[in-house]
Amino acid sequence: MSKRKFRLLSKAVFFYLLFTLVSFIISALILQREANDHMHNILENRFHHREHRIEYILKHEPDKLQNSSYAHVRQVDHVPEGFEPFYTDTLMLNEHTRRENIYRKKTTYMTVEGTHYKVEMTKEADELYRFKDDVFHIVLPVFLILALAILLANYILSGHLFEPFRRILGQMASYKIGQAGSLPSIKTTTYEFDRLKQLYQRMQQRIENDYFQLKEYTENMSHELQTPLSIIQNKTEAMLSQNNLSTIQAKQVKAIYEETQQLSRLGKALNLITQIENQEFQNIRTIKTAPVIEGHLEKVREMTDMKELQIKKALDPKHAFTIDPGLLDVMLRNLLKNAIRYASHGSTIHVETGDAGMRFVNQGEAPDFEPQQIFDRFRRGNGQKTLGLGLSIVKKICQVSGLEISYEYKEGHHIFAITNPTSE
Amino acid sequence: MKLLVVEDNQELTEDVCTFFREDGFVTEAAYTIQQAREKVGVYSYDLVILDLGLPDGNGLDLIGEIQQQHEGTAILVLTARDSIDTKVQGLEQGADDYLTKPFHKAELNARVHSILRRRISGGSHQIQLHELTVDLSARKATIHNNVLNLTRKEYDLLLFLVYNKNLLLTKESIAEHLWGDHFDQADNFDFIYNHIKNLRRKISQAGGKNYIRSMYGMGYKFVSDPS
Repeated sequence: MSKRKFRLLSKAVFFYLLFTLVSFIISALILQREANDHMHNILENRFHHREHRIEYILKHEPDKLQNSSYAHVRQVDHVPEGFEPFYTDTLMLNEHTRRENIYRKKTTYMTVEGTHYKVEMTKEADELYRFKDDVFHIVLPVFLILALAILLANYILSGHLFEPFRRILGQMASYKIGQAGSLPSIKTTTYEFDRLKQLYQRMQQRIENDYFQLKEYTENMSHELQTPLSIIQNKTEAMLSQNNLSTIQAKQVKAIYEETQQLSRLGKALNLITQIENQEFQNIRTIKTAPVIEGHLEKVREMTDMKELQIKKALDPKHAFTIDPGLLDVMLRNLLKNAIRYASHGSTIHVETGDAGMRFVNQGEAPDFEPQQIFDRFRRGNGQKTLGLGLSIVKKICQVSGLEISYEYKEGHHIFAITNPTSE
Repeated sequence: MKLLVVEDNQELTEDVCTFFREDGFVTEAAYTIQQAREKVGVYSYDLVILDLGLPDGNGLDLIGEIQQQHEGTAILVLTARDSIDTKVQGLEQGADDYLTKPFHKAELNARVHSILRRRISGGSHQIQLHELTVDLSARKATIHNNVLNLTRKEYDLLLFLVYNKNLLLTKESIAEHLWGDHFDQADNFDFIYNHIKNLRRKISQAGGKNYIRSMYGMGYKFVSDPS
């Protein structure tokens, strides 16, 4: 399972907004602390002022403080050791506005002319609290406006800014060997895209160089190998044509001859795989499979008769593949060869086409390897002398033709199914 | 019959030339396009066996030139390039047939005879060998004027044997000739034996001699003088 993919710009915006939000929260917290300090200082000033006043009253007219709302003063025996004034915020009813407001209470001790007093003063702090809340009330809308602006800019700019990038991607997606240099150059003032374009062009050049070198090598090898093989083959045939070889000599020449044949087939098969991989078969068209399969079945009749095989065909005349006709031929030939080779003597081979695709089914012994390895190169079944390239060629053909091939061994039958995934 | 072999490998050229010389052809060899051009410019050939991968260029370019010089010259393209493209190109340019390396000499021989037969108009289209007559235009074989009742494959096999008389035909070359790419080399060759057996039986039933000999268990030879 691959993770969900997001656009770069969306990702960038997401993280940008996330960081902005975090920094907004941090600055809001700092602002709030500043506001707190400020508030405390103001209140402290006012309490200080009041304390002076109380001290004055206690000195000159102490009775005045009895039952006063100005401050609650009580005479005590001594001041607790190490006492620090403390504050508590509480909700209280405001007598004038008849509304509950936040008040701050300061509790402290005073010593006036040798007498100790515990003093409790209250002061309204509502406005200051509201100021503190305002910090958040301002920061949040500002953040939302900023986020909206960024999203809008992203939406408008993504089309324009990323245009060259999308065009480079388009060129990459539709690139075929042999196009290097023929693609229209993409102009961009974005450093990264320009660099990407240059690297892509350089990569294209490299791919093409490698490809043409490989192609040349394959062609050369094919040519240089086949000519000596022709000579060996002809010479051995000539030796065998002379009627004067001893049995041992004939056996040896025969071995040379057979290995030469094998070598030549190997060269041809590998060459074919390379040609398929290089996508040299480009005569792609829609071909009705029924008549082609009929033709192939006709040509292998003697081979099937030899093994007394029955061919049961159920061919849909409408079934078609979009493929190079040469490749279709090679594919069918190899599938048939494979079915005939591994079919049990006297059994039945089923060839079916229809909406579910194309199926080749033959009875036979279970493979002595993992089923998914059946398409590997040089994979041969149960001691067979073949090259072991036929099915890997079939697989290659399916790959370049947009077809899917599957294999399973079920209830004594080998089942090959070829489907066109896009037609469903 | 005059034959020009254009092929850069001297050993192979020599092999092919010797082979056809023994069959009564007049053969010449050219190892480069330039040499071939000179020869074609001066002499006329019945057939040119043309390799495509030549040191000084692609043999395909020669096809048109040869045909301009002598319309009657047949061309058999011989190449190591086993690609459909080249095959189609060669035939489109006017080559008569196409054979990929490595080839069986018997196959080359059969192709050459078949091309020449098609090219020669009016001539006798019969091969006569003692009591055996193969009528190429009617695709029929007779022994002492008795028509052999041959299947298509048996007729093709007989013709292949007759074209290559006194030569060993390996089972591989017979299978390739009769079934082409459909033949699976890994399988046994029993069905070839069946065809040979039937052919022998039909010939002897019509009063013919035993021309087909088995060789070292590797193949068969059509002997022109069974004694």
